[in-house]
Amino acid sequence: MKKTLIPIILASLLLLTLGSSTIAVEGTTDDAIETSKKREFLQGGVEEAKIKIQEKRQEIRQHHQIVRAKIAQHHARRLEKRFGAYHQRFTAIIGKMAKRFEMMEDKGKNMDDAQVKLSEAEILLTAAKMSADQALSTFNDVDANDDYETQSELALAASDLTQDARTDFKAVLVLLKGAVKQAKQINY
Amino acid sequence: MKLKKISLLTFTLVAASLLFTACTNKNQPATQQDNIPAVQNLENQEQNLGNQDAKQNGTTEKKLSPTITVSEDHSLDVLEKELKETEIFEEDFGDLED
Repeated sequence: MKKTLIPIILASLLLLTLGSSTIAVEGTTDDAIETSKKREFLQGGVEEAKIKIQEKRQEIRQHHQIVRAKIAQHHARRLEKRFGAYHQRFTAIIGKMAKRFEMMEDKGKNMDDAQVKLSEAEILLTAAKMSADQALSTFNDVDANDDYETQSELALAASDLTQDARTDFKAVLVLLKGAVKQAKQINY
Repeated sequence: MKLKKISLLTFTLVAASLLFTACTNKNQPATQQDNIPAVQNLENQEQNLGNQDAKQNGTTEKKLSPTITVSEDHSLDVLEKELKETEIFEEDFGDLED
């Protein structure tokens, strides 16, 4: 009985082992196919997400450019008002000074040095006006459709021109103050 | 065996979903956090600029109005006073450097 049972048990065990290993191999192949399908699905999802992110980035960049252009327009409007005021005021003051110096010269006073300062101030005022006009037009050139680099270049150029104009306006002020000071010294 | 198969499938699904979540989370919030505040910041700057303009125009206008109108008086004292009152304002374009 024992002799009969042992081979049967052994044979069954052998069959079981073989059967399970075959199923395991089949199972592994199925798993590999499923995993590869899932991987493909995931990759598709990632690609789609990447495209969406790029579209969003582009949208944000465009919005950024529109806002920058608006800021540049704000600067242009402010500078137009300020530079216009400086130019108007200095022109009026230079006119009055020229009249005053003429009167003093008529009275026999030597106004040469003061006159030189006044002429220099006039020349600088013209230069300041030119830089100011260029700065304004450069700020106005900053367009919402321009790319970031172009906008930056224009903004930088406009900013430099503004500083040039400011420097010239400040120099005009210094020269005019010096001319009046000299005139006062001559007068007393 | 079936149990083994099920557990393998569950493991794959969990790993895949974790991988997917990691990939999408890594990209999306980064752009939202990095870029959207940048735009909002610019928009705020734009609004502030408008408010600043309005505010500054109040004070600047006050300073600029005597600047625009110059008296007819061309005495040296008046000229000196008018030049003393003249102010060349600072200009800042930091908001365009973003």
